[in-house]
Amino acid sequence: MARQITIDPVTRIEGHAKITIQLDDAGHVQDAKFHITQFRGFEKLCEGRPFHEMPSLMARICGICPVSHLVASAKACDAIMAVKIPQTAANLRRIINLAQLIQSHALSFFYLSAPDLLLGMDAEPVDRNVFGLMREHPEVARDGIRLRQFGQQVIELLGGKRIHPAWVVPGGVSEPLSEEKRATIMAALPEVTAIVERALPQFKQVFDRFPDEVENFGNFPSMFMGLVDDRGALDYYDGNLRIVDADGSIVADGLLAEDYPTYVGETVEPWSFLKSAYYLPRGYPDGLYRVGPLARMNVASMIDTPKAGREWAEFRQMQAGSVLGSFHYHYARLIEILHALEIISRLLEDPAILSTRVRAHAEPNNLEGVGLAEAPRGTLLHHYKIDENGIMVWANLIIATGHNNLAMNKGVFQVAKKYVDGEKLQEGMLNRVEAVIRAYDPCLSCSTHALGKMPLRIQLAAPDGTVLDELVRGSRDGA
Amino acid sequence: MLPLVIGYGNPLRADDGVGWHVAQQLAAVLSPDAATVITTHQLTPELAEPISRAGLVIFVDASAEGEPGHVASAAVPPQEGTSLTFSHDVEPQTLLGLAGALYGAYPPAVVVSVAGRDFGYGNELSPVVQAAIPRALAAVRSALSAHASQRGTPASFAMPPAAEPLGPSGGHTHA
Repeated sequence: MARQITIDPVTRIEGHAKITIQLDDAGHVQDAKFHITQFRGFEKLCEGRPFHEMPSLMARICGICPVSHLVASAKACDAIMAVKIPQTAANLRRIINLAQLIQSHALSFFYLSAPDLLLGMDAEPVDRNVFGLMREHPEVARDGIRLRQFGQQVIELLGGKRIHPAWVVPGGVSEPLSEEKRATIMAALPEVTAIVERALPQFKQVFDRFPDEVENFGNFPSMFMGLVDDRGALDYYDGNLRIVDADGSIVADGLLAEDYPTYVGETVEPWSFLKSAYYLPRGYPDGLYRVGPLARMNVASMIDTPKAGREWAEFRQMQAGSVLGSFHYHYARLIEILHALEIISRLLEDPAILSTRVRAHAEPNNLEGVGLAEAPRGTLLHHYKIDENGIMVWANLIIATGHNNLAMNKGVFQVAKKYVDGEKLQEGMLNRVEAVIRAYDPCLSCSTHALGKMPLRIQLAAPDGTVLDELVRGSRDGA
Repeated sequence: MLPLVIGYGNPLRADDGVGWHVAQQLAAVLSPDAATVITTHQLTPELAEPISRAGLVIFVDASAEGEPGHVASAAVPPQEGTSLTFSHDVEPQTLLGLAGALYGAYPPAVVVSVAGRDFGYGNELSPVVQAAIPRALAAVRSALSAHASQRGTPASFAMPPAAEPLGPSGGHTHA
């Protein structure tokens, strides 16, 4: 008789999700789904508001990556105004966007994932967390804290505050960069760059200890999507989208943001509030693709900073064509932190970064606009429509986690097939299910890693509701 | 080593933001060489490092317990060990323990709490909590004065110049 396993998280998490695993009559895993049970409704909330409020409003979507939404939203507003913002403003937006990436990646890697990597996937949950890391590897913990601090401090210096800064505005940024602030950031760069340069060789050795996870964590052929410039170099702020396949061949290139309805489809499944995005020409679900750090390493023809460029070349040696294992998102994040630091240094060294011409002003000149940028987790798109008075009438957001939804589901299915025994739930399954989701670092990361303990309850139930087996990982409340 | 005042909470959840309001008003009356003031949504591990360098740390927060508007002050010992499991709810004693474990030092610490009435959606404090802010400020100043007296240095409450955005060396920081 077919049965269903439901992983239903306890509340008190940043996001809300559950996982269901469907078994066939023989007790083998037949299907698995990653359900997002949280409804935010920002696309409806903004209707009726002046379009120029959107960056500030949309930043409230997220407390981890508000800058990413600020940037994408501001670019959509730029398109509505039909302005080309001053180059200094674009570069300042680049810097704050990269600072966001640094602090977000530092959080994901050092706080959320390093405990697995350094303490082991099978370590006791009470120890397998950032505090356990601090106890066993204090130097790694300090490094992670410093990296995150640096990213946050740059955001604060530029935007006035670390969370929901209001500095990125339609037409540019609200204030130029002062020499004092520039010098402050430059002074910190050698120290934080050294941290990443220390971490990369250390963790490359650690990654080699996880052949099973490399093989089974979301390791499957897929397409990948990301922004590149006209040289094919990785670009987090501008450029056009490129899609490559598992062989590394270019499927589509030079894709303009405003044309996204021709190549990105979205579908809604009844079992999740998160829309699933797919490559429209290949249909659903064959059009599955991945975004984010791993995808960016795969779509780029080059990484145009010296240190990260060398690391990227070594990364690409792991596999002919595209690197497919989602476990390598972790490795890709470290490379991206290094790349971001090098770009910030390059931009700050240009005297033009201190220009006071940082904003273009205009009334609405188009009734819709699309803004696209690379957020820490992947490609982020904001599409707005306004009326003749500049009032929002419609919005569509495609966030990175939405692009990755199909892939995350596939990854959960892959892990479940390997670790779920139809008659008995294995403890290792909990850890591995957490870990495969964590590799993608979705905006639900906090829901999957409360310091190494995803508050999970897995029940194996018969169709009549009889609980056949149960595994519980408690929350702080001991539930 | 300067004292550090950390006002935390969510200013979009009514009385939960009282820590923010107290910290912002404090920053307006304290000179940068008297204390560093940080406002933040929540306590995070990154705060352990500036805490380790402070001579005193004062946490200002809302409390869900007690008569609304009641202001309480209490010393906080560092937490030994790492039994805490949830990174979204780091507590003052945990940060003190982290400061000691990672950076080798932690200062004396005080929590000034204001009991709230309304924790719903909104960016204004309830009247009873709004009225409690002067008492909360007085509690913070009292802790600062006691610390200054112990060190034999006068605390300065002169009106500051424009606040610097840098955290560790003084001034007011939004986290």
